[in-house]
Parts: sequence; C-alpha cells; structure tokens
Amino acid sequence: MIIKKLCKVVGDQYVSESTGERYIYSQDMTENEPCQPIAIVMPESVEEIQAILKIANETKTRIVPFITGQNVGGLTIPQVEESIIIDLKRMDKILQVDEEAMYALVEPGVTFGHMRRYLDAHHPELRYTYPLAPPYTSVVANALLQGLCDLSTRHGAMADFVNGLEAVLPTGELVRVGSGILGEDNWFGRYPLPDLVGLFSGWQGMSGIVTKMALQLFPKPPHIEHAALFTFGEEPTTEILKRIARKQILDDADCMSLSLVKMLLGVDYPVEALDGEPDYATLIAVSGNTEREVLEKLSVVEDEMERAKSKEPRQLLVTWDAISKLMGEQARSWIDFPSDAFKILTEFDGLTWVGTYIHPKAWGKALAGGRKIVERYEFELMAFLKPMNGMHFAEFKFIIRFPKDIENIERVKRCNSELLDFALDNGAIPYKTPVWAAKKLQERIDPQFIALLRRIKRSLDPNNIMNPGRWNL
Amino acid sequence: MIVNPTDDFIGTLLAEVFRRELESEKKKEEVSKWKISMILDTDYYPVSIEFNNGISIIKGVIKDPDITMTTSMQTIIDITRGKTSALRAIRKGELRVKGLFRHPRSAFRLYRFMIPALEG
Repeated sequence: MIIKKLCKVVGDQYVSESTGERYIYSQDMTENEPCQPIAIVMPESVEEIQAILKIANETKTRIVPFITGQNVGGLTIPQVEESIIIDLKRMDKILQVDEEAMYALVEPGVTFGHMRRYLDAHHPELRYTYPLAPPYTSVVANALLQGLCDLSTRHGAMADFVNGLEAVLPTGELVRVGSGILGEDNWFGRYPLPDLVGLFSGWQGMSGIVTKMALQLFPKPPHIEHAALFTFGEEPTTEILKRIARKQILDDADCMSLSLVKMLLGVDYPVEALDGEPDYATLIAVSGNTEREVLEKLSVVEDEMERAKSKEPRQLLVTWDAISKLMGEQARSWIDFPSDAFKILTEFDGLTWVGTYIHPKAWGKALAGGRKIVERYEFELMAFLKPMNGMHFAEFKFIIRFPKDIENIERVKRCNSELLDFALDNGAIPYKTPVWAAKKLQERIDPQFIALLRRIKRSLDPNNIMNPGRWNL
Repeated sequence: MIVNPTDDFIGTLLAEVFRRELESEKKKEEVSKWKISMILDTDYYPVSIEFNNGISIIKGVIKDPDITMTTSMQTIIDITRGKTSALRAIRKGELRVKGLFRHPRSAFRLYRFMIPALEG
C-alpha cells in the first residue's frame, strides 16, 4: 500500500523493494549488525520529500535518510524493522556560490568530488575541503555528522562551516535556519540568531531531512607547502604536535601510525610496526599569500623540531622536496590522504574505527593506551590524531581494516568496545556514534542531556518516524 | 631487474628510490652484473642491501658485508635535499664508510649508484 503511494510521488523507477537493493542498503563496511529496509525511495525535490514524510506520518512508517553511506559508523543501517530508506543522491545540485561572502549553497547529494571539480572550473580562487572519506562522500552528510577535513586543524569540525540550512521536518513543514531566513542569496552566517543549526547537526537524521545547506568556502592560497614529521614515542610526539599546533600556522596536521605510510608505499597486509622505525608520521600543510610567508611558517616548525631533537635526536622534520624524492608518486597519495587513503583502507570489505574528539591533555595517553589494546587484539596499528580548531581539541581514532567474516567481526567488536571504554575514561566524546557506542556514552553522561534530547526529538517528531533508535533514544 | 619487496620503512623507501634509478636501461645492465653486499647502518636501524642479479633489501645486518655505511637519517635527508653532499658528510664524520680500502671498486660503484639515486 505505502509502496504504491511512494511510487505515485517519485515515479516507479525510483522506488525499489528488490532483494538485491534491500541487501545492499542493509549494511555498510563496519561491524554493525545489518538490518534490511522494506524499500528504498529516491526523491528528486523538496516537494517529493515533503510528500514522502506526510505519507510516513500517516502510516507511522520509519524513515532512514541515506546519501552515500560512507560514514564508517553504521549510521544508515535501520535500527528498527520495516523502515524505508530515503536515498538523496538525486538531489545533487550546487545551487549557488557566493564569491564575496564565500559560501556554497548545495543539495544533500553533492559530493566532495563534485564540489572540488565545480570550484576548480568556475571559482578557482575558492576551495572547500576533503574529509577522511572517498571523494564520492556527501558534503552535507559530513557537515551534519560534525566530521573532520583537511582544514580542520585550522578551522575545526565541518559543522562549524555551516552558515545555515533548509530542512523538511518529520511532520512535513519546510524550515530554514541561519541568515537565509531573510531570503535567497543571503546565506552568509548563523548569527546573530538563536543557533538552530544545532537541531540538525549531530542528530544523525533523527530530526528531519536537510534539503539545502550553505557551507563556508575558503580562499585558495597561492602557495601551499607540505612537510612530514617522523617521531618516536606517544608523549614526545603529541608534545611536538601541541607546540607546533599552538603556533596557529598550520592548515592541517595528520598524525598517523607509520604503518599507514608504509601501506601507501605498498607494504603488503599485514603491515607491522618494526623495532627502530619511527612510531608516527605527521603530515603538515601550511599555506600563504607569498612563498616567503610559507617559508617563514616552515621555519617556525623547524625551530620546534630542533627543540625536540635536543631530547631525542631521531625526531625528524622532512621537507616535501625530500619526501617526493624518497616516496616517488606515492608522496602525492600522502598529500591526498585522507581521501586517497581509501584505496588502502578498503583492502578488505570491513573497515571501522572508534572516532572521538579529545582534550589535548589526553593525547599522548590515548595513543599509548589505544596502541596496547589494538596490539592485544592483533590488528594493524593505524592510529590517527588530528589537532582541531587551532589546538582546542583533537580527533583521535584507531582505524581497523578487516575481512568481514564472523570471527573477525567478533574480534573487531571486542576491540572497539575496549577502545571506547578507554577513550571515555579519558574524557573523549565519540563522534558518528553508532548505537552501541551511544549506550556506553549514556551510562556516563549527565542524564539531563539525554532528557533534553528526548524532549526535542518528541517535539519535532511526535510519531518517532525519523531514524528511530539512533543515539539509543 | 627486480628490487625485492621489503616490509620495513627505510628498506621500502630505498627500494622505491632504486626502482626509479633502474628505469635507465644502461644503469640496469650495469647494476645487474654486480655482486656487492653492504649494510646501511642508521640511527633508526640497519638495513642490508645485496646486489646479486637484482637488489635485495632486508632489515637487519648480514654477515661479512663488503661495505658498511654508518650515518643518521638526518644526514640521508640532508643529502637528498642537497643540503650536504656525501663527500662533505664523510669529511664531517656524519657518514662513515667501512671497507673502502678492502673493496674500493665496490665502494666506488655504490657511491655512483646510491648518491645520484638519493639526490633524485
């Protein structure tokens, strides 16, 4: 019955109940339990989404929004039976780029690949970013999930780039938040207003379907330079990172287990950390309006590394000319890490991580403690730590790639569970939180926060149709 | 000509550098005739390199190498960047070469192969 109604809204060819498609949409690359939807529907317009949500409310049908499913958190897997997935890929227009206020207004199906190609072709003096995800990932989804990108060391999580948005509420009304409430061509910011972007940011599709989002763009600097730090020890590594990040001169800094660089260089699975090798490799990016500005920034980094070398002479700063000579074509892959890294991270059908945002005081401890846990479970060491937003916090995770068989899935679950307990012990907050992680978090946090979430959810979604079960609400 | 894959960091970097250097047919033919063993002992860890109808790189030390080079990763990077030269590093004691007098021909060959390879 509902399927017929949906077909009437979007057309027969954009509704599927086929076994094959329901299987594909029932899972992602993570260890999270699959759950098949009863159908997938692909709307093309705001009006179609409103009509779908109206039908869903009438029939109390559960809705899970989906774009490309690259969240590495199981976030588009239905949590309840008989859900319908709304796949927003067809809404893929870049509606506006404002050169002066530097923002782009986009639909949810726009990917990082689309955005980069479009800006390079039409607005070459502006840039967006790319995430720790493939180029076919949605920019709107990443912003809504408060993910990180290659400008996060400087500008913070991608949710901070949101100037405003338009959304269909679970009850079908179309709303806007941010300066775009005053009309078109006016999406310059979120303030000075009650900041209602928060009704959608971080909610994992439980509060409505975002149909447009205004995202900040940034001037493309004429000069960008990279360098790499090779460092030993968790505490010394994070001390160096903190000192450099506090100088506020970096666009980006990705500190990762050396294993990840060895993977980029072609070392076969399983990649092991060997005695005598540096523990961590950190890729840094600096930019400037002149070459001199860039060189001055790099000299600040060099000074910090000289201080570090006085304690441990093996700590090494390697400029990009040397990296290029030593790594050859793979040097480019490292710069394009995180996007390009997916070719190594997707060696198997399984990929997961427990991602958290964490206080600077715990960085060294988190790397050391997490390493012990991962080693005990005999997974490859793939720690990743990025100073965020100047240096106010960091994103921190251990990545695991694995063949998705029963034994490995169970081992991954146990390892991730232990990693999360350890992270929570250190005050870290999980992001892109799967339900199992939300349960653990809820056992420790202020119960009034959960009560407030429930009140907001009830108020926006009285029939609880939008992605029910997420965040264990 | 095969450069054997290795699984350590320095060995992997050297293999990449050597592969590119051996894209020259002339050099490939020349190197394929060598029978030289050496240890590159760095402040990170030592790697052993054997030229014998191909190039094999392994982490650790082999017995009785023809040549042993001892240096730091910083010096290797400085040579790569052109901030110093191998000869200057030897003069300053930053690069020490053992076996030079017993195997001068091997030392000369390695010098002529490895230094341009590192310098790109």
